[in-house]
Amino acid sequence: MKAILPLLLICGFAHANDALDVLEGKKNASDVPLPPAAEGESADGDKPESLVYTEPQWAPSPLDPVWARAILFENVANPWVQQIAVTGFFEGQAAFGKAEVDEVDATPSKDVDLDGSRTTRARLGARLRAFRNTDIEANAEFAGNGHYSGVERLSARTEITPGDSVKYGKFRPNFTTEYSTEDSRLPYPDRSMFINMIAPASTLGLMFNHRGPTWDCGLGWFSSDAHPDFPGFEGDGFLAFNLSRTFVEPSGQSVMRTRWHLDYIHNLDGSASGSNPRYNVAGRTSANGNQLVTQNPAFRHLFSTGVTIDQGDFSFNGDFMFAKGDTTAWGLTLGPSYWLLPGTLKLVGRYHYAGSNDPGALIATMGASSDPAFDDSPFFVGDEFHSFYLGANLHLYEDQMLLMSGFEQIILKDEAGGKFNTDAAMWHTGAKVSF
Amino acid sequence: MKFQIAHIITTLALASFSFAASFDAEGFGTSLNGWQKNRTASYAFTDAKYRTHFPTITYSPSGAMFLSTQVDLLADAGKGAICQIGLTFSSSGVLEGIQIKGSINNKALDTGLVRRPEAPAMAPAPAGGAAVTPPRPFHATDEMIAELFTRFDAEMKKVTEGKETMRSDLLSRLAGNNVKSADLSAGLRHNVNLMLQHVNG
Repeated sequence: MKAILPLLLICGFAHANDALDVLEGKKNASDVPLPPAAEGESADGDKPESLVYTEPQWAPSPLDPVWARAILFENVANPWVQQIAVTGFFEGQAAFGKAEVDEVDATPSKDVDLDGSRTTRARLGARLRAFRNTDIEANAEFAGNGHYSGVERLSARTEITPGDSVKYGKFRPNFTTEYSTEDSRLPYPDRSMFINMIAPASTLGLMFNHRGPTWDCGLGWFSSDAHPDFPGFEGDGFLAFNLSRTFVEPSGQSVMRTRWHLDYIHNLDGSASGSNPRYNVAGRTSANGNQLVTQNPAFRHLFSTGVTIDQGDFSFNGDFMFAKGDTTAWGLTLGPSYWLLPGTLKLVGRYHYAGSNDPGALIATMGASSDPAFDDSPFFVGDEFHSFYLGANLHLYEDQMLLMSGFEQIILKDEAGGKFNTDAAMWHTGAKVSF
Repeated sequence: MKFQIAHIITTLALASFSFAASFDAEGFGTSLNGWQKNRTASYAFTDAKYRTHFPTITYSPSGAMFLSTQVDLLADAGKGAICQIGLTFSSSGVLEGIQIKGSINNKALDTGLVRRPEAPAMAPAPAGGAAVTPPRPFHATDEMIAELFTRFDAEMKKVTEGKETMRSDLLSRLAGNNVKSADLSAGLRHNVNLMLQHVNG
């Protein structure tokens, strides 16, 4: 077959007599002159070359052989199973600081201690590539204070045709840049407060995705059941829609890649949904003013749009979010980062804002985790939130083993509610290892 | 009768191999710090560490000798480089072909076989006995080596393309990870020269 292929190619381009001579062995295939390629087309039949953004590669590292051991089996020629790998992720975070709650009427001002350390995520699982078109992932998660918190994902993605795939099982929908990014690849101690507040849980779902040269889109349905292990069909669930476009353009001496995205989630069950939101603070009181939260925030419409920009050592993530339901809230994230020492030391910044006109509409957790899913963290309520984070990440091994440290200043206003405004300042430090 | 035929065949075989080229592997090893128990020689050259494996020698029925050896560029981090040098000699010890294959950072490298070039035709002397500049001396073996390393450098360029833009994590930086094209080329050339010096025609 390998011998026939060049002949077929020559037959397509060369004069018929030449092709016959090659077949009869009178001429070598390499001696036959090929007609010039049409203008704007290479001899291989490719389209004119478009600008391509190449992801920077990692230089060899002493730990390469260690990380390579995570792949237990690999054989691309095997028709049934092509790869079996162990996956794992550990993240430990510590915070040192305090939150100062304003004095209101007879209630004196109060300091809330934010010191603490926590295993925010610990996962162990497996990844399997089968039938040359299906990727299966399974992860068990131990989080919070090290307790088993369930199956984080158990999903499969099958490629139907090149560029078109279907994903099914338990997984989390794509929503905002930060929530769509694997936790192990997040450059911050945790996701932004508003994303943690509105993002739905990982649950049973079915999602169709299309990936084109520039446009990507996806449409899916997810259950309202938020069982920690194996969720079932419950309620009407929620619909998820993603659209994105990637632009690659020259910028000075380098190439810049910009990815714009638009994500929309329609929660058909409203406040009855178990997976949206993915935490439960109803019946608990806030650390600022002991304000009782009577019910969890319930949103029917979740919307996000933003861009991510990569150019050389510089990256930027900008996201605008809007949530509407029993209450209305919005948020903004601006996160630049820059490699001070490419591959080793990264400077990371993030400004995050969230707002609402309704009293106590925002749920904010501070300390070792800003995720209210860790319900042992002190949480605060308010209607305007500002967070400024500046830190540095030391990459010991690629993006898979790093130390993080940074300073965060938080301003939470509670003007529409009990006026228990809160200012917090804290140092974050932590470590991540993933394979 | 059978004994006589066997004797004749043995004599002919010995006669044919008595004209074959040979290789002084011990002398080659001695010039590289000597062979160790594991039949490799370790040495430093142009600030890089190398390990050369004991050569393999095979003969064709016509008496041509194929000599090959593996040269490893040792890196403290990563995979370094592994290269195979293959030389083919005629029965009279004339280098007829040379090739380098290798693997660097999991990328394959192959110079292809460099064959012995024909000597260029002599230009006819100009009429009238006018003075002419004598042509540059032609050394086929030198031409082959020059061609080999021209191809090798081109292959290395492909293999290490984009290496300048690679990101090095902390451990990679501490260990020093770069397989430098110049280092490897110099080390292989050193091995090729020593191999040629230890071939007996």
